[in-house]
Amino acid sequence: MKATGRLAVHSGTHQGTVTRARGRSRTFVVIAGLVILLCATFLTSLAISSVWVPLAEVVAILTGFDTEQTSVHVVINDVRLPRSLTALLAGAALGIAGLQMQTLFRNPLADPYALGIASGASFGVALVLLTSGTTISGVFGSSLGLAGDALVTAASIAGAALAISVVLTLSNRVESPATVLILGLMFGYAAQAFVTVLVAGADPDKLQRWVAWGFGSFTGVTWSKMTIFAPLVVAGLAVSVLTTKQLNALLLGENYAGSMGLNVRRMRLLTMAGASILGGVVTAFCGPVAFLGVAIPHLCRGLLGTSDHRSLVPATILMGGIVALTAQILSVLPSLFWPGSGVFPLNAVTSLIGAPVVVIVLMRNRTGVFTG
Amino acid sequence: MSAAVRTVDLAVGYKTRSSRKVVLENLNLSAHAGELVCLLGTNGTGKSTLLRSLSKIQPSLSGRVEIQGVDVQQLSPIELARRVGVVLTERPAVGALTARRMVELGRYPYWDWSGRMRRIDHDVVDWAIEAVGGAPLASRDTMSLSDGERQRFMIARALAQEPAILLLDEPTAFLDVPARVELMGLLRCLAREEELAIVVSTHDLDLALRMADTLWLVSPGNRLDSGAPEDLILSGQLADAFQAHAIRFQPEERAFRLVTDARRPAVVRGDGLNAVLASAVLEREGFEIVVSGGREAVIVTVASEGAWELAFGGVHHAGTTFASLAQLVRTLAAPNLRN
Repeated sequence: MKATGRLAVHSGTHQGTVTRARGRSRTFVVIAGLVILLCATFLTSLAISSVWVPLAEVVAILTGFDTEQTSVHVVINDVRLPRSLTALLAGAALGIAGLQMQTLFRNPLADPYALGIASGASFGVALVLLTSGTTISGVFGSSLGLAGDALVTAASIAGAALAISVVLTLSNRVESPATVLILGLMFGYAAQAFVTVLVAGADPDKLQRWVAWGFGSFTGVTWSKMTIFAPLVVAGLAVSVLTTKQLNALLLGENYAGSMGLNVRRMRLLTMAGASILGGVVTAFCGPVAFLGVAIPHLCRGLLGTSDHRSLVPATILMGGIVALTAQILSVLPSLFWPGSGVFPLNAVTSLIGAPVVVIVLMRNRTGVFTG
Repeated sequence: MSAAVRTVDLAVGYKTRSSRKVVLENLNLSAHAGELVCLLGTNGTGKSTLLRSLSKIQPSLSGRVEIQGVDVQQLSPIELARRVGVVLTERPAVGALTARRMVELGRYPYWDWSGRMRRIDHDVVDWAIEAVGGAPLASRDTMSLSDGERQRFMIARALAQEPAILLLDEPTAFLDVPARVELMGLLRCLAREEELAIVVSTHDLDLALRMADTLWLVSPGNRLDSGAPEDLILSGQLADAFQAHAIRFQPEERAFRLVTDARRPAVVRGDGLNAVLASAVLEREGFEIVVSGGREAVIVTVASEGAWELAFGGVHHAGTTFASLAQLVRTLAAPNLRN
């Protein structure tokens, strides 16, 4: 290797070592802090709901010390635990999908729904919810052998999958990532147009279910649904964890990445497929949860002070879980203080509380956090 | 000596489903290790297309490109990246990334699946940063660097790939004059010391003529001539390549001059820099500098610090700045140019 000859003259500079060490220690502190915060929010989310369960009891139930089959036990194990796990996974999924899209398209506004996934899914769901009782949903339901919630989930997955396959197929024929982004946008408008037609003709009862789906919620995933939800999310996250070096190469754009040895087309397809699965699965099980996908990567860049995906990917997974769990906790707070008042819609919480936080983080990092 | 990069009947251009636009064809070029090649030509003649085809960013239309004797089509992206480093015209603005970390990305073709930097990777990065003189800036954020500094780190990143060939597309565009000269000097130095074959496209004719070992010269009519700068000057090919209405190539000065129609003779007497500058003023005002002129010639005598005397038609003028000289000759030249 050529380098060995050169190195006799220039061996490692001291300066480089110092820089590397400083970067590593900041990453370590941030990641460690996020892990602690994730554990804290996870336990808190189990303790807080319409009824407060002391943390000690939560821990006892989780660790199996308290095996009494009380109602609290059931509530924690069968309601709150799947809900918190869902929030954690969904937050991580949306954050990672957002990060992948932002890096791939080199666009700070890209999110998991950039490829029309949410629109595709909502089209599928609208088809089921707004036409229920009519022939269309009857045909769907009976052919799939599904009813109610399961049907909504299936329709959402089908809609998202349709969006993914259309955009992925078309994107294989275009050179520029920006064009792919516009394709997704156009697909979204088209799907939205169909939804509008369905909404216009729907009766108020059905419309209410449709609107409720649009609020987003982490409560719909039961243990049986979790067996589908969790593996898909974990698989999607694994793609990002295994491609951090490729994502880093893409920081400089597709042409440079290609010149450094990355198979750009394959990576683009893999990333879009991974992000689509993450975004699609979350939309299917939790509804179109807004904001997290765009915001979480920015929060992490701000905290870490780097665009390096080796630290950004793990931080985004942790931060996604933290933010989603916090949103979940905040959305049930009103029912804790004013019993019977119901919950805040999840999307209202994520956007209203999250948006100012992101603005603050971005304003404090004036050096330009994003890879634009 | 076998060529680091060689093209065989290469044609480059653009291909869509329905049409094929050839930009340059029948290219049989070569660049050797240790050689600095400058690719010259007016805008839109296909310099970027050629560089992109050499680095396989863009598919070529026919013929082949050989890197160290191997057809690029036979090379995997990783193998190619270990042989060819590129610096493109696109200047990605990557925030929140230190210059050093950006250079580290150049180790991509040597990383294992995890992208972990081994000791040797760090050592090569140190070397690459040192080679472009970037060590004091390495911990800065790339966004906080000046254009020239960032360009150096882009080159360091390409060097970190440990290539045998470096292709650069207009690396001196957007740079100020000292940075341009420094950058070309750096490239020349890298070619010699690291035994790299370097191909640079540029509009800096003056620098290219001074620094390049070989010119690849794109002439009108999609012809590409290759040769030492001096040979291309002597054969007149360089003058042809930049043929335009109002300029003329002056082989002795190795530079282009604006052509003025009516030129009057002027004689400049004096030594050194003062005489050179006085000549420049007169040339700009439409005079032709001659050794000895007849009655119609303007005679300018310069002493030190720009003090001058001008004799024309029996009248004498004097002044102390070149601005006043220019002002005077403008009034002298004007009536005469009208006939």
